[in-house]
Amino acid sequence: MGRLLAATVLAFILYSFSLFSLPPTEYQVKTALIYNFLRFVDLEKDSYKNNNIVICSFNNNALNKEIQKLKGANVSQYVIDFQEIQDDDNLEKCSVLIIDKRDDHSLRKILERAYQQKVFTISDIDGYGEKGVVINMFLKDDKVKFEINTEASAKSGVKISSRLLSIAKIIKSINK
Amino acid sequence: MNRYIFFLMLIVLSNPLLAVDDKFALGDIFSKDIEELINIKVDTVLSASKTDEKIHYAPAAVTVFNRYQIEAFGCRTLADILNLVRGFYITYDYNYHYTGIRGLYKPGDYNSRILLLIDGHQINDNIYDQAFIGTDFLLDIDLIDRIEVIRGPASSLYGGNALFGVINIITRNLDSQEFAVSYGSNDTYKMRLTLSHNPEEKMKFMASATYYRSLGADLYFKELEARGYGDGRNYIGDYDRYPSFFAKSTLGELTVFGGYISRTKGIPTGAWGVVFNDKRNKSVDNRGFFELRYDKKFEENLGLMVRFFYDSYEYEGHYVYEDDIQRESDRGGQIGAEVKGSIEKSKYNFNIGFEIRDSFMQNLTVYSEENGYTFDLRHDSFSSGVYLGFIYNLLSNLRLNLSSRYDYFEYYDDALSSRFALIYSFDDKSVFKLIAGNAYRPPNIYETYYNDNGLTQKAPDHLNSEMIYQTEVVYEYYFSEDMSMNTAIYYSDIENMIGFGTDPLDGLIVASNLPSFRLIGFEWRSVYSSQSGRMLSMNYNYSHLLDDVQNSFPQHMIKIRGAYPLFQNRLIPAFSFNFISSTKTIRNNDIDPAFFLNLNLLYKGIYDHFDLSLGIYNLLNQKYYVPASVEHNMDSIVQQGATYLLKLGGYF
Repeated sequence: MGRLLAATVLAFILYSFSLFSLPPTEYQVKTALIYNFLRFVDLEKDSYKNNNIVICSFNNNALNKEIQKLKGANVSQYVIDFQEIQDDDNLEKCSVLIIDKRDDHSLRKILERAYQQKVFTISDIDGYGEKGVVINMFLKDDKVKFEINTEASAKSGVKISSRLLSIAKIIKSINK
Repeated sequence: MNRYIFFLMLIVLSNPLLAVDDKFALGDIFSKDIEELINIKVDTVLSASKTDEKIHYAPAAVTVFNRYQIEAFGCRTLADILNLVRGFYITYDYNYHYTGIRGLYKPGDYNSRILLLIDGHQINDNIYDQAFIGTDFLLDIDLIDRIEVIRGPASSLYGGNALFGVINIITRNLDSQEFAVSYGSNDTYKMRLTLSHNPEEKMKFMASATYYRSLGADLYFKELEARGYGDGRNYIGDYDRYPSFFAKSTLGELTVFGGYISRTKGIPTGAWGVVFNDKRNKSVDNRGFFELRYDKKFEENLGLMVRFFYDSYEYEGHYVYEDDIQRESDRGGQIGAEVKGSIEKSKYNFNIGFEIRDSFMQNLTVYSEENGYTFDLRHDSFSSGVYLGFIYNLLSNLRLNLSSRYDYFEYYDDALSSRFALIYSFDDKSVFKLIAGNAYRPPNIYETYYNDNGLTQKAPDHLNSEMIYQTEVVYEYYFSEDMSMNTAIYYSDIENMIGFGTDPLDGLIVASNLPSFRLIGFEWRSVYSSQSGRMLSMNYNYSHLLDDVQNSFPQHMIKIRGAYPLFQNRLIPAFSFNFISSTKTIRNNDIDPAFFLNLNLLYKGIYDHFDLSLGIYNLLNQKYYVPASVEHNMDSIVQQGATYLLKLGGYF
């Protein structure tokens, strides 16, 4: 009888999982946001690589596992590609660069290269918007919000739609 | 029967979730508008980014324990949380919970050497300096966002009390209405209702009320039986109950918050020589506070913080003796203010602050039904402090952190405390910290003045402030974002530590300064914690006294805890295991090594609005003992056997 009861309870618990909608993880929401950013920005012509939007991200970024699921998705006439890169790789092949947490010196170096190559930079690290990343995502009250650095977007040749600007926090670089 | 099980299996296996594809989950999100996306509440379990920087460069060995862990490990009280954190040794004498930290434990010290803060507000009272960590802690555990445990002397920032470390509790910002009900062993139940209003850019508000009641355990103290206290059993005296309240409101830079608890706890151990099996023996602790804070960041990285606070504390002790009933009644009241200015530049960071405290009431009275007032102290005192903090980035990967504080006390010597820290990051992966500092604690009112007219305790002739000097080396290594390891070696020199002992001449309990002594210790922790909530943490703590003084801290402690979320974080089984090596009682007897295992099963998001959890504590029903403080007739106190708690939470 005990076993029967245990089996019933177990079955109920397992079955009941199917009744609920799944809560997205932080990284899933961030990835969906990145996909939406691409829908609402215009990059410079040269930044589209053979009709592809190439998202580059440094290896070891915890977001990569989610972001690579965007591979093959369409944004208007473009197809999303994903590449993991090393610190010293050339950014020429990248349309978008996801920036991970690093020290200020190496961040500055990477941003300079990204501005030069007109690469659209995105990050999810506190304070990185003010340090010069175009769109930075952050958590507020357990929700993922984002800020746009308009100076950085001008430098990177990224035109941002008013729809994005209207819901983002608009910030400027802090010169140090 | 077999057919029935086959049918069940069919249901289970047909469950679409068991073969869930991540793309399915992602696909669902893709269909949402960007406006919807930024309003989805996400599982931010273990998102290190919030505090990562802080821990990385903090001039101390820091542990952050977040809400996910509190829920996953089924923590019921702050003491439960500290029990999982490295370097903490938790004991319970069925009146209060106590903690030793990093190699030092004085039974019965009311945790006065640890500074306990709620959102930066000091919770230690102004009579006993007590850090309340059990059911007497005024914040419901469900309202905690995270706990930052900062080890080592920190008086140079916070003044007295921060002798061994600081526990800062950061409260949640809710945007839902919540309730929680729980029921567990010893006829324990608890109810909480929390209301909140959290609109964007407007006044945010949160208010919460909790009621807790436990009939208490059936206790058996074999030492008391041996000493002729009946059969050593007490089935009526361990009751515990409290109502508590907490509220917080924020409007722009202005925050108002406060709380109150009135906790009544039976004293079932016959402490202070009271009649053992009489349920009238009890402690009542009422603690309340209120704070108004203005915290503004100006352009040019200038910051200003101003706060005003009010604190109240009342203690009512009822002690039943064969021929008398004594009532201790203590009243504490305090107002204070603090101003702090800061400048943050990329190269350096500087802050300066000033704090005043007017303890307008620090009264102690003891009333005997036989003899009237046997002790009646009306006391007040004033203290103030000024502090400076300076952080300088010598190189992009080398940081200097200096802080110093000067305190004035009306009745004790002035004190100067400082801390020096050098933090060097070899590369992105490893951090090396060298920290040296001192901290002090002036004697509290209880230690200095308490006497009950020759019944159990008398006042000392003179007491000096305690002082600790500590040097510490910390090394942290981050294998990846998910995995890290850290070690710390510390050396402490402790002067004038205050302890309670019995005067052999009259047999009365009295406080005195102990001879100075030295201590070395070593800590190691290795942790894996993934974004998805999987975690495994192991830590080890070793400490060794270089001089011969009484100390009840176990020399070795091993703590392991792990959680493994299943079904997209829906079901989270978790365990924690503690091993505590042999330790000494205050009468220098040995207490056997002990271990205990806790299990918790958390089932989240039932119908999107409910969480259910079942915790089993001390699952293997280990009988383990902790050292008793001097007011007890036994040398060691047996801790709770196996207990359970079932909890249902709802949020709307």
